Amino acid sequence: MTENKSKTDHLRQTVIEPSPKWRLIDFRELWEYRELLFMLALREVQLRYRQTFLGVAWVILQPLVTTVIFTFIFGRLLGAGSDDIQYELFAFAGLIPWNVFSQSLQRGGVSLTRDIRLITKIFFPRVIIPIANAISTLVDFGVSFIILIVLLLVYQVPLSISILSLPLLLVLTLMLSIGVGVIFASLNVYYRDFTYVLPFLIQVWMYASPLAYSSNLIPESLNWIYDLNPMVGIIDGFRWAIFGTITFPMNALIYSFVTSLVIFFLGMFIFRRLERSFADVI
Amino acid sequence: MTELILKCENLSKQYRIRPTKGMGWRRNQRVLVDDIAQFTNLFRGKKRNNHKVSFWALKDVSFEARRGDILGVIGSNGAGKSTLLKLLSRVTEPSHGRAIINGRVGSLLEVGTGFHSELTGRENIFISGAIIGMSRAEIKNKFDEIVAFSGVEKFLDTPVKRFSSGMEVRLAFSVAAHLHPELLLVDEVLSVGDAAFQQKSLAKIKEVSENGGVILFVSHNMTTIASLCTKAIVLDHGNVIYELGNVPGAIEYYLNFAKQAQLKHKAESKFTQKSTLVKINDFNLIDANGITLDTLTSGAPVDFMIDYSIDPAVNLEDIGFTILIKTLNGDVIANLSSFKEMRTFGISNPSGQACCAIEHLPLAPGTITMSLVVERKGEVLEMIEDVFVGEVDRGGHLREHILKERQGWVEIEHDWRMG
Repeated sequence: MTENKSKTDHLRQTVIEPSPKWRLIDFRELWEYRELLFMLALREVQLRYRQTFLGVAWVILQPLVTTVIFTFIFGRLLGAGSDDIQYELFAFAGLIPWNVFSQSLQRGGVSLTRDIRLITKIFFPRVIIPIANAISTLVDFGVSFIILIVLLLVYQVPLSISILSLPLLLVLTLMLSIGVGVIFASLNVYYRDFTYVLPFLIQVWMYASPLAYSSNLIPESLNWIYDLNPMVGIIDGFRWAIFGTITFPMNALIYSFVTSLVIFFLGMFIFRRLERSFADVI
Repeated sequence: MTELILKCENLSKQYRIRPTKGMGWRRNQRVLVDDIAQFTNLFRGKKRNNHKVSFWALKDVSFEARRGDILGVIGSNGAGKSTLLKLLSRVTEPSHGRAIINGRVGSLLEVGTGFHSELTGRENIFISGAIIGMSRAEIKNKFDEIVAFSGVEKFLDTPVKRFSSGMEVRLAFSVAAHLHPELLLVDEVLSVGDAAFQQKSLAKIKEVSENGGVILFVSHNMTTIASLCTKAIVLDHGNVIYELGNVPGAIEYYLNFAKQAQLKHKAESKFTQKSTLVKINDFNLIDANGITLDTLTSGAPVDFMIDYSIDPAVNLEDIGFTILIKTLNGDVIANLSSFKEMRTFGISNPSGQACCAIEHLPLAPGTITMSLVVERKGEVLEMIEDVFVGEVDRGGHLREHILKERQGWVEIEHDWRMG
């Protein structure tokens, strides 16, 4: 019995009771579930190109094809500015953060409704699901980054020391996409309409971001409103980090930083508030 | 006193029912307006005031369980059994009250929840293991054991979608069974796999309590409850109607309660019916002396009497009755259909009585239910569940069975000879 006693002593106690209405995500709990987060992210990656002929080649093809299209339409036909950088490189550098953002938003936004069984049958911090989806895009990021290095070598563009700031910019991108993603994910539980809204939002957001064109094309007087889009600072920041030749987008990045942080925490609050009823509503 | 593993204090769960009046867009509109109101109230922290009606799926349930306990939770549909499991597995939050659990919670509520059909057996073991709360190291340690238990070694690197459903369930169950939690929630799990696998599973489940864990077993199969559990509690409409106590007492209480409820139901409204063409006025069990019974007797003669009236517009020739005899789990033991005897039943009167006579009731002692189906040329006009819920008593010709919990559902007349 004493043996049992000592066994109970280090058993973890769980208290199940109604939770306060407003609270932030429990980051300690999240840390305890880090293995599950990793497994779910791994699952997303494993699942993505199952039963495809080209398999992982898709990860390489997707950004390359988009770059080629951008180069023809915006670079050659329309002559969109590229800040004196080879247009192909300019477009590709912008696509790297954009793909991380749009894919983690797209996947994260519909992630809960795709995993209904997980939500109605088993407990774990729900927010892990959209976050795992966001993190799984890091694989695409890694592959794109290697392609970028190859492209830089081919075009004989010297690497800039500012490239060391990429991890920070990447974290910012993930925070923003997770913030927006969890808002959509939780609203989607209640109304599936958001599944259909999401692709439109992403499309509009794409045109509102300096992806195919240079943000220098935006008239000075409109910059204050243009920079409100946190992706402006992030994309320009990526280009600055990679090429080092364009000017540091100070204002836009400050905007990005503040908005991303606000959206991230707002998303966590909303998610947590709605989370309580997920299993009953979904 | 051994250590407390689970303690529920006034555990309650309230659900809201959405308005269902109206159709299509107008209804959607109202629901949407409600939701927006509720959503904005969330931010203002105001009380909700909308058209929603609420009910208590579970109300003030309190009990505790200590190391080694196997608790049976008994109750009919809608009693709150699943809600209790959902609360304890933290899938949904209680509305008030609380539960304290010391240790890990495992559940066999829906095995294979984390399974993904595109992933291989091996990948699924790791992912579903992580989902139910095992660490990666733990899964690696138990990997061989899990695979051996499931018996799907050969298909480990095949996507689960190529598995037979039996294989998938066995693998999923294996993962869940190797969690070794302090509290294991089980919901009618023994329907998994074939008989041999079920035996193995049962042994595996019992291991949890032998190792000092608690098992909470939900079932409406009294036989399983009786043979497995050490204590039982009875729920009805969210309330505890029999406090956690000894198992035979709880079962007896429940069966009596169910019978009372059924009688009351019968007295109030006869049967709830959807068909306008056929009306079942009464359903009775009559013995050889013409006396109405409320229990059956194994081996004895019995007549099932159906009192019906049929819309005169219906071609009487086409009408047939079927009585389904079922276990409390809903498994059909026997199907007594008037269509089996002749092409048409040949009802001559639009209203009257149909009788299904049985000379020696070949049912083993136990609790059964009956459903009545009225068909017209293979189309189900009416299906009434639970026209009878009750017991089959031991007839005089039967000796007390040694393997009581394994006496099965039917009695087959047989003869032993030595030679």
